[in-house]
Amino acid sequence: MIRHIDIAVQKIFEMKEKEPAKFKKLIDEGIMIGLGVDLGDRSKEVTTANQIEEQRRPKDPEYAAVTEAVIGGNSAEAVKLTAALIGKGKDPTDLVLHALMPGIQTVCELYDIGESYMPEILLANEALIEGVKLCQEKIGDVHSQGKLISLVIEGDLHDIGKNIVAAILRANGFEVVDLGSDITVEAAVKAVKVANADLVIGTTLMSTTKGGLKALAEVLESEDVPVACGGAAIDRHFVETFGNSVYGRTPLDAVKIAKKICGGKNWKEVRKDLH
Amino acid sequence: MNQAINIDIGTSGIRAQLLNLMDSSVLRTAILSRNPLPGANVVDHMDFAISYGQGTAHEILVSAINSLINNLKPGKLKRIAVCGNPIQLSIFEGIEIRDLAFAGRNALEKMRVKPPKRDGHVVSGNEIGLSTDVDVIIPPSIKHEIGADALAMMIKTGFLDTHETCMVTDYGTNAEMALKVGDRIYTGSAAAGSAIEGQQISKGMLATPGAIADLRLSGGWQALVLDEKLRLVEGPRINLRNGTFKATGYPAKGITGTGVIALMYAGLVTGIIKPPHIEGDKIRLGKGITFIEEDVIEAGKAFGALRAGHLTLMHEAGIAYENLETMYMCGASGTYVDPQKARFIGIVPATPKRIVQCGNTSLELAKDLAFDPDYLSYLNEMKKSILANHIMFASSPTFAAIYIQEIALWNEGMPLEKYNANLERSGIQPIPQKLQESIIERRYERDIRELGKSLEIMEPKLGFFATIQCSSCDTCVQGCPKEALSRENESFRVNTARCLGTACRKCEERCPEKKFSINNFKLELPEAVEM
Repeated sequence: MIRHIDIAVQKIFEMKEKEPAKFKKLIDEGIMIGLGVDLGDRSKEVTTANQIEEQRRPKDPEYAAVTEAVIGGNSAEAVKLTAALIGKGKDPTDLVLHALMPGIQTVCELYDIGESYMPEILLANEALIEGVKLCQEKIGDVHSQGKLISLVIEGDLHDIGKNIVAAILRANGFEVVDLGSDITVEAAVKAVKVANADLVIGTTLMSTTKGGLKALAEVLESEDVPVACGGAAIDRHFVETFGNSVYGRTPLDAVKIAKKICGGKNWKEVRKDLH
Repeated sequence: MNQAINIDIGTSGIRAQLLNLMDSSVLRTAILSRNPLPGANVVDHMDFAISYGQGTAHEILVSAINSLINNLKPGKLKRIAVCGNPIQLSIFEGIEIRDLAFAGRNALEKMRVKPPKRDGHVVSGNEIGLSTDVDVIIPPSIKHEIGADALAMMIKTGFLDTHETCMVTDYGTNAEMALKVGDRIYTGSAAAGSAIEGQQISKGMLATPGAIADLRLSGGWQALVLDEKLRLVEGPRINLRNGTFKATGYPAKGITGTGVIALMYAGLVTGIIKPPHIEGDKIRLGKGITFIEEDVIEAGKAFGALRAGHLTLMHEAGIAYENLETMYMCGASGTYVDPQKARFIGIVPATPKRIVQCGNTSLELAKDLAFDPDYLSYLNEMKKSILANHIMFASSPTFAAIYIQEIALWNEGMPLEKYNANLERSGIQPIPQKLQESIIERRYERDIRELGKSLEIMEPKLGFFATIQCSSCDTCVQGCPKEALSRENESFRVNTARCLGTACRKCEERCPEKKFSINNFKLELPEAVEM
C-alpha cells in the first residue's frame, strides 16, 4: 500500500530505472485507458478463484456436491455424499477421478494464486482420504500416477510437513500410503515390499534423526526404490552424501520428483534434473 | 570471605555470578554471550554431542564455564550451583543425553538407552573437570521432560504459591511453559527457536550492550539500545519514508529478541510489515543492521510456536482464555519486552488480568542453592508433590492443528478470521481479537536481579583445529554462513560457539577437493577472551 504521494513518485522513478520495459508498458496502457480503449483482454491473463472453481467443477450436480465438500474440507459430508452415489450404482473409480479429486485439485490451484492456505489443503486432504477409502473398499486400487510411501523417520514425531507433502501428492494423482511418524527403517522396507511402491518420501525436522533417512536409502538401494528426502533438518548437501536419494525443499519438489521417478527415470537422472 | 558461584547454562548464552556468603550479596557478574557448543538450538547441540562424542561436547562446555569462573576471580570458593535445561545440565555433568535426543520412542528402544534419574544431587568439581574442586550442586528435573529450568520458573515467580489459574513462560530459545488449574499443572516446551533471543535473525544478538531491545513510535521510529549497564537508552533514529537511519545515541550492533518483537509490532500496526512481506523488502535499523523478509518468517515461526503452545495447554486443561488470571514472564526476553507489544503479536495470551515480569529465574534458583545447599533436599521433596502432565507438542494433534494456522498466518498471510474459523472447526477455542486491560507488574529493572560491582561480557573462543594440505581455494572459509571458519596456511580453525554444527557442515560438503573433513578436527582449549 502506498500512503504518501512522495513515496509513490519515488517508486515510479525507481521502476523507470530498473524495469524500463514494464514502465513503458504501464505508461502505454495508461494512455490507452485515457483514450478510452478497452483493455478487457488483460483480465484473461490473471486466473481468478472463480475461474478455477468453475473449470474444475464437475458438470453432474451430484458430483459437484462431492467436490464442494472436499474443497470445504467437510469430511462427514464428503463421506455421506460419496456413499450415497456408490449406493446409486455409480462407478467408484469414476467417483474418485471426477468427483473427489477435482476438490483437492481446486484447493491446490487456489493455493497457487494465494486464494487458499495450507490448513485448508490439509482439511481438504482429510475429506479426500475418507471419500477415497469408501471407493477403494468397492473396487480395490484406483489407477494412479504411481504408488508412494510417506513417513517421518524413526526418532522424530514432527509430521506437519510430511502431511502437507502427502496431501499435495494425492492432489496430483499419486496414491500415497502414509505410514505416520517415528517409523523404523525395517518397518519402512517392509511397507515398500507389501505396497510394491515406486518411491519413498521421508522427512525429519530434527538433526539428531536425519541419519535414519540415509540408512533407509541405502537399504532400499537393492530394491531399486529411491527415497525423496526433505524437512527442516535436511538439505541438498546432506542428501548428496549418500546414494539412492533425491532432495526436495518444497512440496512442489516432491511432486516433480514423484513424476520423474514414476515416469521411469532413476534417482541419478532425477538429481541431475533437479539438484 | 567465603564465596560461591551460581551459573545459568542457557542454550544461547551462559550467565555466572560470584556471591559473598557472609552477607548474601552478589559481587560480580560475567556472561558468555554464546553457548560454546556448535549449533543453534538444543537439538543441534545434542546431535553434535552424539556425533562427535559426548566427551568432546562435555569438554567444550566445561572449558567455557572454567573461563567464566576464572573471570569472576573467586577467593575462598565454597561451592558452585548450576541451573538450566536437562540437556545443557547433562552435557555439563557428562552423563547420558541420548534419552533426550529423540522425540519418538523407536530410535531409543533400538539403542537400549537407559535414562539417568536426574534427581537433585552434588558432585565434585574434579569429577566434572572444573578448574576448582568444590561441591557442584545440580538441581532436579521434575520429570523426564520437565527440567530444573522449568522448576525454577515455577518457584521463583510465585506460580506455585498462588491458587488462581495462572501461566508461566520462560522466553528462551527453548521456551518452557506451564499452566496451573487448581493443583494440576500442565507443562510443555516449545522449540521457539533462537529468534526469541535474537540469534536466528540475520542481524540478531543476545541481550548484551549494543543490542536494539525496543522501539518508540513517535514520528519516526526511535530505537532503544542496551548500554554497558544493560539499561535501555536511545540509539539510532529510523526514517521509514526514505528507508534511512540517523546514527545518533548509543551505537547499535544488532537486534535482540525483544527488539524483534518491538519491530514486528511496529511493522504490523503501521502496515509496513504484512507477513511474510515488508514494504520495500527490508527495514534499515542502523549501520549494517537490516531486518529482512526471512526475519519476518523466522520471527513468525517463533511467535507461532509460543501461541500454539499456550493454547494447547489451555485446551488440554479445558479452560477458556477468560479464565486466565495471571501470566508470569521469565528470561531476558520476558523481562525487557513491552507486555502490550508481546500480547499484540501473540506471545502473551490476550486475556490475563495481571502480567508479571520476573527476570532470569534459572540464575536465581542457582543462587538460592549456592547460598543454601540444604535447599536441594527441599527441591527433591517438592518435585514428588508436583502433579504435572507434560504435553509433548511434537506428537500433540491439538498443537499441530494450531501450529499449521500459525504457519499460514505468518508465512502465507492468511487472515486471522480464517485462522479462528479453522480452529473452531477443529473444536478449539478461537484467539480473542480484543486484548484485555491488564495490570502490569515489572518486578526487576534487569533480567539479572542484582549485577554486583561489575558486569563482564565475554565471547567464547574455543577452537577446533586441523591441518589440511590442499590448494587453499578457501571455498570452505567463504561458504561459512557464520564466519566461524578461518585459515592460516595449512592450519584451519573453527570457532565452535559460532559454528552452526551438524545442521550445517557447508565447509565439508562444499570442498571441491573433498579434503575437508570435520572429523579430523581436534579440540584446542585456549582461554575465553573478553570482548
